Formats: sequence, C-alpha cells, structure tokens
Amino acid sequence: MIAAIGLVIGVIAGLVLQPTVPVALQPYLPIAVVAALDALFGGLRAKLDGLFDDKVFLVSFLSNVVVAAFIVFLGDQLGVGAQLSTAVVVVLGIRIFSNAAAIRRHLFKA
Amino acid sequence: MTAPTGQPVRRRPDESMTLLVEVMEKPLDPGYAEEAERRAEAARAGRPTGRRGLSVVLLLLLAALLGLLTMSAALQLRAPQAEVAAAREVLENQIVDRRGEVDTLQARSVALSDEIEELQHTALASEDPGLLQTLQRDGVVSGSAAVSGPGLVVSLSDGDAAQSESDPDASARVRDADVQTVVNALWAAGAEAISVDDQRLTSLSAIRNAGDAILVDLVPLPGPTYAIRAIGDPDDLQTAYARSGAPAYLQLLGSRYGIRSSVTPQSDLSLPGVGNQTLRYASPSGAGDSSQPGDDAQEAPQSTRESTSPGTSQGTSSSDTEEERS
Repeated sequence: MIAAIGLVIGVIAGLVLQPTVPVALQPYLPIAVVAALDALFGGLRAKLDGLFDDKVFLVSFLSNVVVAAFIVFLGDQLGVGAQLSTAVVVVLGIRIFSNAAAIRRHLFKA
Repeated sequence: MTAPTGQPVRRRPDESMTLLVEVMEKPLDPGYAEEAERRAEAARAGRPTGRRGLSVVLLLLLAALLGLLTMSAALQLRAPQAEVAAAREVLENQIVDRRGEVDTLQARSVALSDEIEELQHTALASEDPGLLQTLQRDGVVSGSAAVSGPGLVVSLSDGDAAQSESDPDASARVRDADVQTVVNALWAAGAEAISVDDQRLTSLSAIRNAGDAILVDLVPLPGPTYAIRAIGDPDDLQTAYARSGAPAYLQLLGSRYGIRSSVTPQSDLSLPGVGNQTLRYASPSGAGDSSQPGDDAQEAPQSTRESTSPGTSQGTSSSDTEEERS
C-alpha cells in the first residue's frame, strides 16, 4: 500500500516537474523501463497471490532497474551492448509474460 | 543425494534447460515468499508484524523516487529528440533562405543580361547593324535570348499510381529519359528552340533525374505535368515528330505506366531566354591561331552550335534510368 502510494506520488511529481535525464544515462533508459515493468508485474502478481510486501517490492524494483542498466553499461564497455540488451529484454520479457499470465488466471480464472 | 533408495529418481525431460524453466515457472521474486513466511512466523510467535514509522517513511520515499525515475525515463523516451528537431529546423530555414537568395540572384542575372542586351542594341544599332543581327541570331540559337513563334507543345503527366497517397508507385512517374526522348525527337523534327517547363534548353543543358525530381540545368521541375514547348513550323514539326519513335514510346508509357501525354500545335509560343552563359574553358579556335588544328572537334564555334544542340540533352544516363524502371 505504501509502495503504491509512493509510486503514484512519484509519477505525478514526474509529470509535473518533467525532469530531464542526464545524457550519459539515456542509453539505459529503455532497459530500465522494461525492468521497472517487470517489477510492477511481479508486485501485482504477489498482491494477487497474497504475498505482497512493500519492502520486497521496492527493493526488487530498485535492484532490477539498477542491475539491468548496469548489465547494459557493462555490455557497452565490452562491445556487446546490443547483445546483452537483447538478453536482458528476453529474460525480463519472459518474466513479464508469465507474471501477466498468472495475473490473468487470478483475475479471470481462465 | 537424499532421494529415497530403490526408487529411481524421476528426471525432468527438460532438466538441461534449467535457466528457461526457472524463468518460466518461477517468475515471482522468491523474496515475496520468504517475507510472507517470516511474517507468518512472527504472527505465530506473537510479535507485531506491522512496520514502524521510520521504515514507512523510508519506503514511501523510495517508492516516490522510483516512480519519479520511471516516469522521467518514460517521458524522455517518448519525447521527440529536441536536438534532431532543432537541427531539422535549422536546415529547413537554410533551404528556404538559400532558395530565396537563388531567386533574387537569378532575377538579377536576368535583369542584368537584359540591360546588356539593351546596351549592345543601342551601341551596335548605329555602329554595326550587321554584327547586331548576327548577335541576335546567335542569341536565338544558343538560347540566351527569349524567342516566340508558332510551334508544338508536348505535355507529359505522371500516372495516377504515382500520386496515390498510400503507396506511390515510382515507376509511374515521368522520368528524365522520357523527357529526353521527346526533346530529342523534337530537335530531330526541326525545332528551333525548346523549353521544358519554362527552362530553355541551350547547348549546355542537361535533363536528368535527381531522386524523384527531373532537373533541367539544375533547376528542379515541379511536376506532375511537364510541358515541352518547341518552336518551329507546326505542321512540319508534327509530321516529323509523328514519324519519330517518340509517339510510340509515349504510347507504351501510357499503356504500361499510365503516363499521359498530349501533342498540341500552337500558333504563338514564347520561350524565355537563359541570359548570357559564361564559358570558362572553351574559346574560339582558329581565330588567328592555326597551331591547334585538332581543337575544332571539341570547341565548336558559336555559329555551328545549332547543329550540335540536339545532341547535348542526350548526354545523360538514359540507359540507366531505363533499367531502373524495368
């Protein structure tokens, strides 16, 4: 509950303030957003499973975003940035899909 | 292992793909389960499970921060790249500016050559009428002077397929080779002066494609209809033109690509002149200097230009464009 309220506050603040992301961080934004989506779906599923916990959700959210961005950064340094981005997107994408499927089963019983 | 003995351990057929199995079957962070376990244990032990003030505030702050981060990232990704738009605008402005500059310079050039002509006229009319006549005739032949007279108008229009909004068909456009064919046929039919969409053809003219546009002397023609005006005896022109290969070629274009064409005789056509043209390298040969006998072939004197005119608009890659179309 706290996490949801905080996220909503943050989103509204972002819409109002329109902060600019430093140019150096911009290559990692797409991956960070995908990681955030993964955490969001995971949280929603946990909520429906009755396992939701604010701390776990927020920590997994933060670490997801940071680790995903870091992997891409590392890939860029090693010259395999595009390939590692693909790997991250594939793994996170599968997770998002399965979580979404679990959510669907919860909501529609189908 | 701790598997009960006597009973063979059932191995999963997809055991070698543990990574994928892990991702597919346990997408939920195991942390959630652990935390739930811990809470259940705390409840059994009778400890309070709720959070205290400080951690609530911390979590709220972290959540707000993450929300802000994600939102700003999403906004950043959705916004059009400001630099790209700005650069585009700068280029557009430059194009408009330069085009205006070209227009003014062209107008100035025309005005100045008019002035030159007028001055020549007044100066020569009294001193050397014969030379004035020669000059005027040369001006007509070389295309530097505006001319008028009866003639023929051949117009070509892009096919309908080229204009369709959704899927324009490039092969339905009129191409440089088509205009070249008509122009060459008209020269061969005895035209004395030809203009394509108000661009007078001279001995230095080229008709070519640049992207989708047809350029005559580096000036792009607006299309989709191209009017080729030729001055000459309308009847003779029409007969000779009809005998050339051009009408059959245009008919083929019409049936295959929907390119429309028409030929209309006109009793009065006026073609613009292009003003004085500067030749930087070519100079008359044989004028008091007979040491370069071989130059005659390359440097045709002014008076023989008439015969070379038909060939000049042909010197482009018509065969290339033909291949492109087919």
